[in-house]
Amino acid sequence: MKKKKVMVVDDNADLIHMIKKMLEKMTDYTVIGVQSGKECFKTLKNGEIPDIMLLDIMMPEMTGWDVLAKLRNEPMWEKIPVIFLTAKDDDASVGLGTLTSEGYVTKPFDISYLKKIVDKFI
Amino acid sequence: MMIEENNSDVMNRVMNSFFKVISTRTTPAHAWLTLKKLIGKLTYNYNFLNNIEVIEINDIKEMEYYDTDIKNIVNINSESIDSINRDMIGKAIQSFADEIINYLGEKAGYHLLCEFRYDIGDDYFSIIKSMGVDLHLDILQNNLYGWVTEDISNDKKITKQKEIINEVI
Repeated sequence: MKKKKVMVVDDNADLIHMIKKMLEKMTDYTVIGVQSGKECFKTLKNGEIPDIMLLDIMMPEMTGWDVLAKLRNEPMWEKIPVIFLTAKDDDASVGLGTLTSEGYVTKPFDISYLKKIVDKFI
Repeated sequence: MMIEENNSDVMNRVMNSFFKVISTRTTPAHAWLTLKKLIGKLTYNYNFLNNIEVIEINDIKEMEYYDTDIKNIVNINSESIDSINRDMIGKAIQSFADEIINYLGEKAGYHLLCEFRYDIGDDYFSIIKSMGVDLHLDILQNNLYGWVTEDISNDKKITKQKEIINEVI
């Protein structure tokens, strides 16, 4: 059976590495890490469509807010479940992020909790 | 004297104001998505919202450069919206505000609705009030800060407002 894919979009390479290591150890999922919105869309255009995306908000050039809006504006990608994974924990960001995405997880996070959320959508 | 505006003008102003205040918290592109989501969600209860279309954009990249003073984020089928009972329009706007509070919580919701209220201005605020919209600003203010506008003197109001502004900053 084809392995489910989780895409992590975060400008922090260490965090991507940690999530990849932990999630792949705990599950059968393949974790793809990309460090910017631009790289995310390049990967998607190359046909690498994830089953779920974990998306940081505060990234240079293109924010996670804009990545999500662009995804939802493209019929090919609009159904990809997106979980925000971010240090932004103010009520407005959490509320607006929850409204437009499938989930909102603030850093620091517990990897078991993150796994539970990913499992829910895969 | 209250200005006369038809339903479509009021809806246009309300949607553009929400777009503006949401944009300042996230980005214009995300505010665009938020409006689409909320209108889509509320269409189940208010079918006439189908006649309000958030503008289509070719490339979300365009939105990054949008001025949040953009004049029109929605296209409205005026004929259809103007034929709707004003109370129903008011209920839809009320539901929009209630959803904001529901997602953002009282504190962040209160600040967003305060900004919205100032952005639409006194005339439009009076109009939506006449349509039955209650933003519950006094109740939220009381819940958050323990006072209501009518209860205290102007000096105290100014002091309280300064406290709130300092807290927000």
